[in-house]
Amino acid sequence: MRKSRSFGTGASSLNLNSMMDVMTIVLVFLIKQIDTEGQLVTAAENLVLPNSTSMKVPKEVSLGIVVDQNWVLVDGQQIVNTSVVSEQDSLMVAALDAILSEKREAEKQAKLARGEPDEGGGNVIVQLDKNMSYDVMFKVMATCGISGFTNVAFAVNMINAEE
Amino acid sequence: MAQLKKAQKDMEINVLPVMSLMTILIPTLISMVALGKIAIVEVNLPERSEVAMDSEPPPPDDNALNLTVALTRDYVEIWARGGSLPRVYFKEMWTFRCKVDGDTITYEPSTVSSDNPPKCQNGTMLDAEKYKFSIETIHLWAIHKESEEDPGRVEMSVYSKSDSAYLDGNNEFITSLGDIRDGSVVATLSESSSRRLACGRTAPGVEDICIDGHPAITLRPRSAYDELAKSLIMIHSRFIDLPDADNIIVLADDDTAFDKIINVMDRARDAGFFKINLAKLAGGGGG
Repeated sequence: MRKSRSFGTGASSLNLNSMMDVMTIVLVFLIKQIDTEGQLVTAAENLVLPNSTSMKVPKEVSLGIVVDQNWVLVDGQQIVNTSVVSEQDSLMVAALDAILSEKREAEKQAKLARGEPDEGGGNVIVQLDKNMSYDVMFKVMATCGISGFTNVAFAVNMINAEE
Repeated sequence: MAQLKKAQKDMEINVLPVMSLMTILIPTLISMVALGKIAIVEVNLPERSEVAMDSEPPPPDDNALNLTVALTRDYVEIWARGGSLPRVYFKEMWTFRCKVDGDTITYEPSTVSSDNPPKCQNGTMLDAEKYKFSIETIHLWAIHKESEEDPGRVEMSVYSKSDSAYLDGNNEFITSLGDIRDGSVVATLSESSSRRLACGRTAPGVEDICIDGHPAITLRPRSAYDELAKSLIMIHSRFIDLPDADNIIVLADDDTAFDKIINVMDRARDAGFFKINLAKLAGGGGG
């Protein structure tokens, strides 16, 4: 009765308190989810990384190579067609070697300018589609070694080792 | 009194700006949250890229383990100390996910090609040239063969809720659901994983195998990766004192999918072989 009398008589205001509570919880949850260290590697768009039980996360920024079904990319720049890599006989991918050697030289010079020793070779993280052939993977990896990036790691999706 | 009420009403915090802020903040944070965390798998570079092609190969060390896993189209084989373990033959199955209806379809690799690409349940064909990139899961079902010519039969194993194969007291795979009962003591392929099975109870050393009061363990084709993992764990524990007890070389065919390499590397690392070298199989293998 009281309700029907008050209905339409005054300016009704939406109670946002419960909504605020929900939002606050969601906000706290999201902030917790965000890794405080930040992600040093971002998954490339045109590929699906394989799942792995590896728990090792990249500790420093490395050169990124992406090998999807169409292109081999270095730091987002298209270098060579994946089909070309697949069809060639040589282990060394010339176009990739050229750009990697250049980047390795620049890395060396930068270290020299900072007065740091250049030891142990360069670091590179390779992202390959999980269905990419071993042949392509091997050629990319070998080219990295030839051009001075001797610390090669492959990016994978971390799955929780259950037991 | 009316004035007091009015004053109280005026003092109510206006939450609308905060709401607006939250509405902006939440989508921004959602876009920043990484749904899957990226890890890395480190490898040692192929030796041929570091060693000059014309140099002599190092003499074989008789005291070394020299562990090598060869992954071919049909089997996995382990070589160590100049000998080899029996091959683990497998039947490869590809599960595709159709983007049009979200359903999965499973094919034997030999039944699909660019002329005959996989077909979804609604009749849509996958891309003839790039259907291999639509493979969601590659299953390697271990098969038992009496001889090279024998087509073999698929081996079955009991798997836990968390997808781990159960082993009995003799370190053999459990092959029948009848062998699993309340109170059974089993292990998995992890170290010190012996546990007692129970339904609806959890305690230290006790695994609850039920969901809503019903057993959730399954009998399904045994993974060749599990066979490999079992052998590698055995080898690592037996030859742990050797100087190269942490080293392994993974050999594979050119057309082996990267996913299979990662799976083998995972099993090797979980067994204790941390220094992983990759190399190519000469001659194509494939039985």
